[in-house]
Amino acid sequence: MFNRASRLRWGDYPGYLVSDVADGNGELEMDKPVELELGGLSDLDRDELEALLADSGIAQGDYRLAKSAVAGADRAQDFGVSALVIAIAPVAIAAISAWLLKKRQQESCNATVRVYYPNGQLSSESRFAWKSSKSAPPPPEIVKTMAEATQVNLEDIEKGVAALGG
Amino acid sequence: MVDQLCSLDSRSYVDTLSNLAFVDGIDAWSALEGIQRGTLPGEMLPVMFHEITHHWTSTSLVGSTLSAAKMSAAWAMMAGEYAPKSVSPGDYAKYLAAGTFLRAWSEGLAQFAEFNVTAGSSRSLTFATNLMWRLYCFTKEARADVLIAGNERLGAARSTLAMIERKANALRQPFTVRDGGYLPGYLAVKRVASRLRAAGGPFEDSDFVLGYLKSFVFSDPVAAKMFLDRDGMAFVDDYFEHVGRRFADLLSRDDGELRRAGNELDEFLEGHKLDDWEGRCFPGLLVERTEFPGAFQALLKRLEELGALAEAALPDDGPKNILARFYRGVTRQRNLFSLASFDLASSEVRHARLTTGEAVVLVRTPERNTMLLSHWHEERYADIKAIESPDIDPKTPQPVDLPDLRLEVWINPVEGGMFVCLHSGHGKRVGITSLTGPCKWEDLPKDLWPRDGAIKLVEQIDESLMAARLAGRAGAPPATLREATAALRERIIMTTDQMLAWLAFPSPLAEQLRLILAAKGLGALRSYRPDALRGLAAMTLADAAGQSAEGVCGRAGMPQRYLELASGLLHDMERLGWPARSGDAWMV
Repeated sequence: MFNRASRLRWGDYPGYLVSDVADGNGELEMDKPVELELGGLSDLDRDELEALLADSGIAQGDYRLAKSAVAGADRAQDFGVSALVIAIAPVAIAAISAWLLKKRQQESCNATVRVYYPNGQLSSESRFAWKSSKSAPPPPEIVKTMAEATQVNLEDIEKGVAALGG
Repeated sequence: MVDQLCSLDSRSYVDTLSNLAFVDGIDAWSALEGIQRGTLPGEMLPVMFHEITHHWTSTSLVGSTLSAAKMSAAWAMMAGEYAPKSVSPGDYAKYLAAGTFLRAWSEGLAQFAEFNVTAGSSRSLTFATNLMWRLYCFTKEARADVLIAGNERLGAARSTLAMIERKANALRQPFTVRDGGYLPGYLAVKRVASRLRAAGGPFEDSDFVLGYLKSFVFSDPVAAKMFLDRDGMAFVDDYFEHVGRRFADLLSRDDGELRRAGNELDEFLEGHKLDDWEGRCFPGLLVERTEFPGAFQALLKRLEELGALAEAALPDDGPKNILARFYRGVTRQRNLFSLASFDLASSEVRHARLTTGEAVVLVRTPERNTMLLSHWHEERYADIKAIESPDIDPKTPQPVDLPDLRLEVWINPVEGGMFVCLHSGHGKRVGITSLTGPCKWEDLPKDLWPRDGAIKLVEQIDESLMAARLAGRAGAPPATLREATAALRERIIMTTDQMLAWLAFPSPLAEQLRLILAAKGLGALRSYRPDALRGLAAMTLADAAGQSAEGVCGRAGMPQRYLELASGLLHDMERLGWPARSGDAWMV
């Protein structure tokens, strides 16, 4: 049932994050998404997000940053937009939720959250896009969307967000 | 690397080979509505100014020569037996060297336009500002009214959170041309602009400074001649030396000399016709005007050679045919600016006749209004704008059976025309109309290629060119052009980074500051926090808009404490010997 190749891919991540999604036998559950990709980040977004992840005890080696793929020759030059890929764990989701809530207060947002199953299949895609805080969804809705997409306990996320001052 | 001139954090770009613009985030209907009302969407104004400035830099002697160098390299690499001796793979080295510097300089000018420029006291108005005001203040007539309205709209657009975020991100880019050169280009343009501004006279007008710095680099006939006369590697060294020497000379002149040069150019531009090619030989300091006719003729000769290749290669099925189609089609529209393009359902289009008998094409708008287009065919073309009351004969509308309809808005910035064009699949031309008054058949862009078809052709050329293989030295396997030029590319990046650092920073500290800002731009400063950089961005944008930073924060809804955080960055810059302000001019 569990694809060996995708386990190796998962092995890129540190154990403490993997254990959050492992079942009692140390095997990964197939019905839960395990990886999150947050796309549409500017360089400033990335810096803010990295600071929140660091505050949550997540080190730089625990996630990876990638340029968003944009079609066409040499269009990677359209930089300033990148994606962060991280294993799903309450602390990580809380940090990302806290970042979305900060974006909500301060400025426009155009971020996309994709979550993936262990075999690399897309589980869900959520778009967080607004042009001003007036048109942004209310904070509980943002946190709820994150909880539903990642299947992380809502209360755990809320506690994490509160710990980060959100 | 140098192929596309992009706008930060959007997908907008201008391709350097074709001068084809792709403006992201604007659809044809809002463009049409905006043009007709004289007011395009305000939030798009800075991005439009950015892309129009790019387009303007490429519509120049040096911009056209750069494009010809890439085409020459493509012919040499892809045309086989058709390639004449006048083209060589070495043309790619020329394109790479000059293109790397020119792209960064163009990015610097485009960001200067986007973040800083307002039209002011000089007698002339730059080409880019002229076009912007035509798009955004179309209903105003008197120049003074247009300037006031235009500057007010720019000021409002610069006082938004979105703009503050764009500027802060621009300052956070790496100081290297490896990824396009946004920050090095911008800081270099800002510092040279502040020197010119200090000289006074027309240079107190930032729009005039934009035009001067564009002409200084992109209308340089000596650089164009070097491009056309010298072999690849000889050109690479000579070009950087030539550009460095000219800037050093410009920056060494005293205020009086600079003012005289500025006044001479201002007076010349005031009476200048935009479509006068010879007139593009601008007067001014360090411009070898006598070289211009020779450079211009040499460029025409090169374009003729490339045209002959296109004729010969057209029947071919291979990559040569891609080049031929590109040359015969897309290069002929390099002066045109593509504003918008989108799909249209055939159910929204009808053939019909007017009550006066002319055949027309009807397009239904989202508001259920009807737009009239002329037939895109010389024998059936009717100048609808010249017909006093173009009423549709109610009995005539007939459905059309055309696949893949696409409606596009094109601008001819030089001649002032704006056009709506309707294409069908495979570039079949259906309907066309002028947005700016009566227009004869011969004044239409009648051979126009659809935008996306042209983009596809450019991408095919880029892919084929970079994958084409060069014969290696004896015994060595053939390498792709990308592999063969990798070391040269690194050398060019380093040389260009150093040159732009020399222009951007106080001279004894240039190399030290370049290295500090190389990876993260102002993100490398000790007091850096994203909110501090937002505060600094708000301060600089407020200055350009002639408003207080507190006022801009208030209007944008940004916390005032970001301005306090920015003071840490100002202190860091001072400590590094690179003050953020020189006199009353910001360096960032």
